[in-house]
Formats: sequence, C-alpha cells, structure tokens
Amino acid sequence: MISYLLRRLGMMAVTLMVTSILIFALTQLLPGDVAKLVLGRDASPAAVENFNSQYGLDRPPIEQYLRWIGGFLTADWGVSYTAGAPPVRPLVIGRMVNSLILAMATLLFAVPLSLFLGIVSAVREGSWIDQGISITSLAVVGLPEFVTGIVLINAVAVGLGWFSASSMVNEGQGLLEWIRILVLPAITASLVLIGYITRMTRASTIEELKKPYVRTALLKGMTLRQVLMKHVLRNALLPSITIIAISFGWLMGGLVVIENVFNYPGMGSLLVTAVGFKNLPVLQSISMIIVFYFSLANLIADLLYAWLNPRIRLG
Amino acid sequence: MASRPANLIGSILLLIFLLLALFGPMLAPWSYETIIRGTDIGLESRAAMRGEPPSSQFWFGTDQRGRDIYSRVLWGARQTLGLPLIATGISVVIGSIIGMLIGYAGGTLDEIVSRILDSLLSIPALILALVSISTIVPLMSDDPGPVIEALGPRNISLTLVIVIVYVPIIARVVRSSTLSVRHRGYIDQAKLRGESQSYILFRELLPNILPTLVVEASLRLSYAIILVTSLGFLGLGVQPPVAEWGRMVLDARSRVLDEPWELWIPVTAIALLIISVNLVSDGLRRLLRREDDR
Amino acid sequence: MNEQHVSPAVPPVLQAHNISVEYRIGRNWRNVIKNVDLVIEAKSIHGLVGESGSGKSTLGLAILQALPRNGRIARGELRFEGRDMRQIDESALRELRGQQITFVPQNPMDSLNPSIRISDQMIEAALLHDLMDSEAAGAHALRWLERVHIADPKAVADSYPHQLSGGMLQRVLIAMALMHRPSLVILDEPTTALDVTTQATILDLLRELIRGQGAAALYISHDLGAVAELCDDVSVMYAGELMESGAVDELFARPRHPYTRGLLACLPGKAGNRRLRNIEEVAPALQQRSLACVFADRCPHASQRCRDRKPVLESAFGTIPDGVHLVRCWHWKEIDAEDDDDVVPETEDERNVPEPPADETLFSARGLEKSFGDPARISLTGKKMHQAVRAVDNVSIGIPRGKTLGIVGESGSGKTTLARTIVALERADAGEMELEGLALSSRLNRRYQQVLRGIMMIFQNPGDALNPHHSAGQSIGRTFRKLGDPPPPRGPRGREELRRRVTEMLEAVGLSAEYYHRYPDQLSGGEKQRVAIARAFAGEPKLIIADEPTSSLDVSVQAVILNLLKDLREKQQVSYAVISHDLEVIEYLADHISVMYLGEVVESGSNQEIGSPPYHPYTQALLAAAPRVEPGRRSKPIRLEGDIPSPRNKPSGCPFHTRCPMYIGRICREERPPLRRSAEGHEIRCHHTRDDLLMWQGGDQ
Repeated sequence: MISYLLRRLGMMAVTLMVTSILIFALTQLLPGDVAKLVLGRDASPAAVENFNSQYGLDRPPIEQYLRWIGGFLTADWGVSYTAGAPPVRPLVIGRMVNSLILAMATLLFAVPLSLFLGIVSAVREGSWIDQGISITSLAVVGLPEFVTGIVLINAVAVGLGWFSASSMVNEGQGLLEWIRILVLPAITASLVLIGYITRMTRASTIEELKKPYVRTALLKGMTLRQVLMKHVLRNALLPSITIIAISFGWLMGGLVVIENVFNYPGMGSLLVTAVGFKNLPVLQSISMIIVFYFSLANLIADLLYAWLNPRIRLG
Repeated sequence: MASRPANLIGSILLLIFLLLALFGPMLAPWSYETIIRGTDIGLESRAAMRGEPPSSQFWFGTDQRGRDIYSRVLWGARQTLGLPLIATGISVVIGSIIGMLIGYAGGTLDEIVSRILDSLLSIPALILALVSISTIVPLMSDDPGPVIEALGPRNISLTLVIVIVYVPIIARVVRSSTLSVRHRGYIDQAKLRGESQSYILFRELLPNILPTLVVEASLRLSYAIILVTSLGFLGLGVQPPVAEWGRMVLDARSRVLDEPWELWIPVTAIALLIISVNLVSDGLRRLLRREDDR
Repeated sequence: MNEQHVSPAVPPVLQAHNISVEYRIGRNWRNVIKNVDLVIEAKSIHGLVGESGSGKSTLGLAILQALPRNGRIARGELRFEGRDMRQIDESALRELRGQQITFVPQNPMDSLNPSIRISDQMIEAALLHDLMDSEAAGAHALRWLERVHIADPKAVADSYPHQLSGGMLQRVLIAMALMHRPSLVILDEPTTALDVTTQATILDLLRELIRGQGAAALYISHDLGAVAELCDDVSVMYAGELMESGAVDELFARPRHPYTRGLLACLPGKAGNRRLRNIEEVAPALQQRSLACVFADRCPHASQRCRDRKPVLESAFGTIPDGVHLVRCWHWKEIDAEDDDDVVPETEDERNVPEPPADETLFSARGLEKSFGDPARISLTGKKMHQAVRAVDNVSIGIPRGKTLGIVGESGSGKTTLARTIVALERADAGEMELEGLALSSRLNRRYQQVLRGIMMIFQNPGDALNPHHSAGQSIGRTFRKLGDPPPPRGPRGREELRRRVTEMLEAVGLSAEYYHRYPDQLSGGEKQRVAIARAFAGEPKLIIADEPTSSLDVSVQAVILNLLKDLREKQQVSYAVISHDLEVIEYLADHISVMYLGEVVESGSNQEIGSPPYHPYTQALLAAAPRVEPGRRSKPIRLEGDIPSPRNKPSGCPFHTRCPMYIGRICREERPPLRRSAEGHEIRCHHTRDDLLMWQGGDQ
C-alpha cells in the first residue's frame, strides 16, 4: 500500500510537470509575441521592448518556464497585466476559496441524491421508474450549464422571487445569505453531476447484481435488501466513489460557465476575464490550480479505490 | 426491447437540425446581419424594427438591433451544429488512428504517448479550450493566409480547439478497445497468415471497435456543441455579427424582461439540439450493445 | 453403496413432477423445461446430466426457486420433504435456504464476495437463521474448514477470496453448503472450472462429506465420468426434457435411450483406436419441439412416429432389483435388441490405413525457452513490476511426418505458450526449431511464406478465432489468397476459382456451400470450429498446432470434431501437435505424448508407453484423476496434495516435488532430475530409476 501510494504520488508529480509545460507552451510560447497581444498590434517597438523586459519575456523559453514554475512553487505567482500590476496570488486565492465553497455545496446536494437514484433504477431495472430516470437524465442533464442556469434564474429567482439570481458577496454576510446565494448555482452544477453519477452507479450496481456471489448470498436465505446492503453495495459503490472524487476535480473547471451565469465571484469568472484580456499570469495560475485539484481528486479517487478494495490493498 | 420512441423522435429532430445546418441560409428570409428597417417591409418609417415580438412577418420576432431572429437561428445552425460536426469528425479520425496505433503496438511508444495523453486529459476540457483559445485566435488572426481568411479565422480556431481537446479523449477510448481486441484469436490468425500491419489494423481490428467509436463520436458531438455554445455564451467563441446560438443567448440576457423571445428562442434551440443528439447517442448505444449480445 | 437408499421406508427428499419452466423473451414465454420428473431419494446423490442448452442448470435453479427474474415455473408439482414448494411463502423459503437446502455453484472464483473475508461469509447463514452466536459460528466455520481438508483453517478464514485458488474456494463453498446439516445440496457443475487433479480431490471430498452428513444431493454436470464415480442415480436431459433416468450402475451399463447411448459412445476414452460414434450435430429448431420427440432430428433410429408424437416416459426394468429405469423413446426395445453393444461401436479400425514411412522427423524443437516479465525492468507507470514467469523451460519435442504429438498438461503447464512459441506468436528466448530440416526463425516477421504456409494453428475458442465481421467464406478465402499454393489469380476468373476452392474446403469439413455467407454469430460452436479447421487447412500445411481444439465444445460435438481431425490427417497427410488438458482426447488422437508440468516436459513416449508403468509420478496421478465411465470403478489410490503451484513461484529442483507422492527429500527439492530413457525412447524426468518406478507402480495395476 505504501509503495502504491509513493508510486501514485510520483505519477501525479510527473503529470503535473508535463501539464505545466503544456499550459506554459500553449499560453506563452506559441504566439511568440505576448506583448502585441496585450498592447495591441500597433504598439510601438519601444513599448513592446519595455513590456517584454518588464515581464521577462525576452529570455530564452526554458529560462522563462523555469522562472515561472519556480515562482509558482515558491508562492510568487507574478503580477497581473492589469492596471497597477497587482500581485496575482492574493487575487486568485480569494476567488479559489469561493469556488471551493460552491463545489462543496454542489457535492453535498448531488452525491446523496444521485447515489439513491442510481441504486433505485438498478434494482428496478427496466421498470417505469428506471425508464423515467434515464429519460429525464438524458433530456435535462445533458444540457449546457448556461442553459439550465438561465432557465433556473428566470423561473425561480426572477419569476418566483426566491433565492438570489446574482451572487454579490459582501463582507460579513450571514450564513443564510450565503445559502441564498449558493442554492441556484449549486443546483445548476448538480444537474450535470447527478446525470453522470446516477448513470455510473446504476451501471455498476446492475453489473454487480449479476455476479454469482449475489446468488450465493440469496441462497443463504437473505432477502434482496439484505444482499444489497451487505454484499452488493460495497462493491457496486467502489466505482461511484472514484467518480465522485473525480467529479470534485471536474467541478473546479466546470464551474467556469456557472460562475459567469450567476456572476459568482469564483476562479471561473476571473479566468474568463483573464482570457478576454490576455492576462497571462492570471490565466496560467488559475489553470495550474485547477489542474492541481483535478490531479489531486484523481489521486484521492485511486487511493480510496485501492484502500476499499482488498484485491488491490492486499495485492 | 426495441428502440424507444424517444430515440426515434431524437433522430428525426437531429435530421431536421442537420438539414438546417446545410440549407438554413437558403431558407432564411434575411441575412444574419441585416438590420431590418420599416421601409424593407413596406412601412413608412426608416427606423430599424427593434424588438418586434413574433408575428406572421417575423416568426421569431426581431432582436434589439432590428435583425430577424428566425433568419439568425437558421444561419446559426451552421455555426452551432456544423462546426462541432466537422471538428468532431477530424478529432475522431486523428484520435482513432493514434489510439489504434499505440494500442496495437504497445510497449514504449504506447507508454510515452499515453502519458502525454493523460497529461492533456488532466486539464479539464473547458480549461484546455480557454487556454488554447487565448493563443490560437490571435495566432490565426495575426497573419491569415487566403485559406484561413476564406473559412474565417474564428472558425478555424474553434475547430482547432475542439480537436486539441478531443483527440486525447478519443485516442484513449480507442486505445482501450483496441487492447481488448488485440489478443483475440482472429488477430493472431491474421499474423500467422503474414498479413501486413495496415490490413490487421483496418480490416481485422477496425470493424470490431467501430461500435465503440460510433457511440463515442456521438457523445463527443454533444459535448462539442456544448463547448461551442458555452464559449459563445462566455463571449469567447464566434464573434458578432456572425450568428451563433450561444452568443445570441449572451446578447439577449440583459433584455429578458423587455424582449423575452429573444432569449428563449436560442435557449430552446440549443436545448432541443443537445437533447436530440443525446437521444441519438443513447439509441446508438442500445442498438450496438444489443448487437454485441447477439 | 446402493443399499442405503433403496429402503422404501424413507420418503424421498425431493419430488418434482411434471415440472415446466418458461423464460420470457421479449413478450413471449418460451418453454425451456418441459414436463420433467425428478425424484431424489434420501441420502442419495442424484446426477443430472446433459449438454449445454439441455436445461439442467435451469432445473436446479427451479428447485431452489431461484430462477432469474424473467423465468418462472409454469406447471408442475415440487415437493421438498413433503412440503409443496410452489405454495411456500417467501419467508418460509428463506428459512429453508442456507439450512435445509443449500447450493454449491459452478464458478468458485466469482461465487464469493471479493471484498468480504472468508470467515465472515461462512458465518453469515448461521447468524441469519439464529443458529448460533457469532463466536460459536466462527469456531464452527474453522472446524468445517478442517473437515474440507484445508491445511491452515485460521489463515484461510482470515483471507479474502482473491488470495485463494479455485480449488480452495470450492472447498470453502462446499463447507458453507454442508456446515448446517442440510437435507438437500444442489451442486451445479462444481468441478468444471477446476483442473483435473483438483477435480479428483473435490469429488473425493464430496463423496466423503455428503455421505458422512447423510444429506441428499443433486449433482448437475456435463461430465459423465464424474457422475459415474460420484452418483447413485442419474437423469439424462436433452433440450429441456428428461430422456432417461435410473441407477448409475444400471444406466451406464445398459443405456436404453439412443441419446444416452450416443453420449457414452462419444467418449474418446472408451474408443481406443476406433472412430468415435457421432451424434449428428443439429441445432434443435425450437418451433418443432411441441409435437415431435426432441431428439428425433439427431437420432439414427428416428421414425415417422417419432416426428409425429412425443414418446412417453416408460419403465424399462433394470437388472438391479427394485431399481427404476425410465426411458423416453418409442423404439428402445427394438434398439436394445438389434445392436446390443453399440456403446462401443465396431467400426473400421483406423490402424488398417497404411503407415507413413517410418518416423521421418517433420518438425523438431530443441531447448525452447520462454519467460514473461523481466524483473529488472520497471515500467514508466510502475504497473508491470512482476516476477519473471518461466512459462516454457527447456522443452524439446519432435514430430514425425504424418503423426500426431499430444501435449497434455493442466493450467500453468505452459502448453499454450509452447504452441504459441512454435508458431512464433511468442518469440522464443532460446532454443532452435526445424521444419523439414530447415531452421526456423523465432520471429514471425522473419519467417518465409513457405514456412507460414507449412505451420498453421487451431485455437481453443472458435468464437474468438473467427472475426465476427468476416463471413466464413471470407475467412477461408483470405487464407487461400495469402497462403494458397498457387494463390488464386486476380480478376473475375480468380474470384470464381477462389469460391470453388473455399466451397470444396467447406465440404471437406462437412459444411455445405451455403455456409459461405454465414457470419460467426450465425454458427454453432461446432460449426465455428469446423470453419476454423477449414481455414487452417487452406494453405495445405504440413503441421497443424491444435490448442485445446475441443475444450469449449459439448461431448457430442467434440466427437464430431475429433473424428474430423482424424479423417483430415489421413486425407491431407499432415502432422498434428494436439494440446489438451484432457488425457482422453490426447490418448484418442496422439501417437506420441508429452506430459508437461510447470513449463517442463516430465515424461514423453508413445501412446502405449504413457498409458502403462513405469510412469512419471505426475502422469500416474493425472491418469488416476480423470473420471471415467466404468461402472463399478470407484476408488483410486493416487491423489495429489494441494494445488498446482503458480508458475510465478516455481519450485526448485524437480518442479513436482511439492506434490509428489514419491518425494524422497533433499535431492528432489534441490536438484533437477535426470532424464531416464528406455531403449525404445520413452523418457521420464525423475530422480527415481525406471525400475524403482516400475516396482512402485506395477502393483496398483
């Protein structure tokens, strides 16, 4: 188990290194001339030169990369290209906390519901409940987040006057206000997750129910419910646990659109602004954070899976 | 159980959307960018027909700038469905060739390429799209050659972004189904007959992974549409005045109280399109799974 | 042994009368079991025999009231110890299960929950039925692990299923089935997934424990030999109906039904050098079943009457007093009178065919080695860090022209790797191969076309060997195109010629021209294997490697394929290397036999030499383990301890020393045994001399 952990940590380090190179190459190297991106095509050569030396863009690419990643690892995330050149780190961290809160709220809502729906439709495979869940999830859940978000805003917030359509977070707000703000974005994000987790849970439960050990248990005299609780779920939910952990990673990226729909002050809305204004230090930092969470979620998923599964735990 | 009626409805809907993407502009009464003035429809006033509600004259009404929404939806089908379709097609071809090659060859090549693919996959799709769009768009617009100019730099950029995002995903799916077929007896038999690599890959292997590939491609199409409309909604996709449904939603958002149809028509169009693609994808999956069981 | 259950005072444990079972397919209910009667006497073991699709397992599930959701008992009466099982309510049924009626499944590997410890799964029934508290149940479980001859019960109880071998898991499942003194145990193919030597010990165990507990049992199996050795009574099913039933000794000695006769005659072990009796393979057309005798399409004795009216179950008085012998056939009396001993048909002796010129070597291999996994190499992902497995370890074989070499071994013996190394699907690490005196490259892409044409291979699983997207004609045709001598010319003429040659080939394997356009999913298992064989012969090879050519097929289909292989050998003048775990198949086909154990050839010689002492101790155990239909034969002296070691941790010295009944100590453990060769070329690799072995083994013949 320890060696598995170390190996898995090593793999994560390699992945993060490769992705950091990819992100760096995609943002900073390909176009060749960042200054023109920021200052405009008609910028004077002097201004370009000035910009390049200010941000170290006149150095060889490898040196640029090393400086960037070195800085990133030592908490020096550079300064933003926006007016006043504010440091990137406090800006991004503040937004990150907001995004984390939204992600947790989403998981709290989506996970229990979708596990329940998945197990119910597996046990009742082929029944109208199963068909209904499957059709609904196909129809509603596959929609883009901005579509469901806009429908929810207009139906619930504007139409009924409940909750909050936009998420102006003020200092010193009460918990209740937070919940009011979180409900709609969290439901919107949940819809995507629910469809996904429900489908996976249903599939793995159905597969597990077909295994011969289920018959062995039934023929000991257990009821189907007992077999489900004592035997099937501990195996069937293993893949779901993985999916949930991965979903957390997905959420960190998937919230981008939702945060924009609801004007939620998270990383995602900052990221879109950064793309619009070619604000590379912000763009790179947020991408790296999201990739980090994504890899971390994958790592946790794998470790949980291995720990809960004696076939891997005991080799 | 036979294919559900819902799957059939989905297929018919998708067919209609496909026809729209092909012939929509010919059917459209107006161009996507024409600002309609009163004189254009026989009225006295030269003022633009802003915010007209749906009527027999303007089936879907007009938008805040006086353009015919019905025409814009028809024109937009090309951006919203056509572009993802082409991009998905390119990704499927490239992705399956890579996936088949590394899955069949195995060994060091497989490990290195898989590692790179995994790294790309550890960047969430939308983030990868945002990161690459920030560089590809300027790259394309900076010095467009005649070909890029003709097709539109934005279109090319978006296609490239989709390809970058989807090639690793498709390659990994194809790789794993190649691995499951690779050790089958008929592959060994082909080797014993002295068949060439390309015969084994395309004649023995490909037909057997095709079902997986078709299902995956339909799934990818749905996600590609979501990606394109989402980028449009974020203001980072196809640029005005070109009509694209996601962008139309963004532009209409602030006007929802005054001209609700301007928001709900593109929203409905996107929802219907995605649902029909998902239903078709689901139908394909059921169909092909049954075939496997046979 | 029969005396105990003959006594009429004790009522039967289970009485099934006129049972019909249906499955829902789409919107229709399809009859899969029709009007079956089954009586299991107290304290007796009843065998239920049939091939795939006969409905034997379904009947077992119906008795357990555990049919899948789309199945139901449509009609009939089912009584367990006098209680009407069809009226019983759900909770009373659950009370019976796990205590009075228990079940031993077919596949031990998947029949225990992978994430629960053995001990917890064993005590579950006791706790569920409130038989004892958990401490007592734990102790009880340990006692029972001991009773199923598990050496270290404590360790096994603390393990998870994946840590144990198939044989061990089956012992656990048997203990679970018997530990609460059931009245009836239903065993569904309990040894099918196991190796021969393990199967033998499990059969011994079942006999000892079921009888010891005084339980009755239903033993469902396709293996006539196992049923003959274990059971008191036997019922034979075909296509969902009961064909014949009676006491084992009576029924196997005097089978009355043409199907039972055919099945027994199919067994290669009883045929010696003669051709096997065939039951023509016809897929039963389900629609025609209602009126006709279900076996009529395949029956050599079928008359118009059989096609018009279904025969009734009649009593054929047995030779054993009070023994009931039932048979469902219109013609059993005539058949019985007319060819009394067609069980071993006296057809043409194959040995009359002129012998090919004496022992000219066609193919030889010397010192072949193949290992998997290199411990020095750590992959990038770190996934493949396993120890090296020496799958083939210094193996030398020779195959004379026109003869058949049989290679026999259990799982892990390396026999399949050897086959794949010969055809260069695996690249040999060391060793030389020659075909007709020419050295062969160990790499496939360096072999000349002449060599590719010369050696073909038939795989174990015909379903896997045919591309599902190519028709039979395409599969065979492609081989003609690549390897045909001469290949058919291009153009329309060539296509016509190709078609003709493919059709000829199809006919040579007994398939009509209309099979040209069939795809694999439209073929039965036997038909698929015929197409695979036709394809193998298309390049007119000199040597065909057949890896378990019949192990995925039913006995009756196996006989057809074995005959076909034998016929083609005479007609096409090829040599075979036939690889199998089934000694009877090998004995039937082979002139020379090599016995493999953990990657090494431990004994090789002619068919006769392998079949008589002196043997390698492993060969002796293998011979003793194979169950055979010989009424009266019950106990056998040689049983091997434990399971085959994993090739990953191959024992040092003589690889067999961990299980050898003739183990003599340090020398076996540490030194590789010498090859002891007789004047005739019979070779045994053992530390004992041939004379010692002969002395030891001569006694039990």
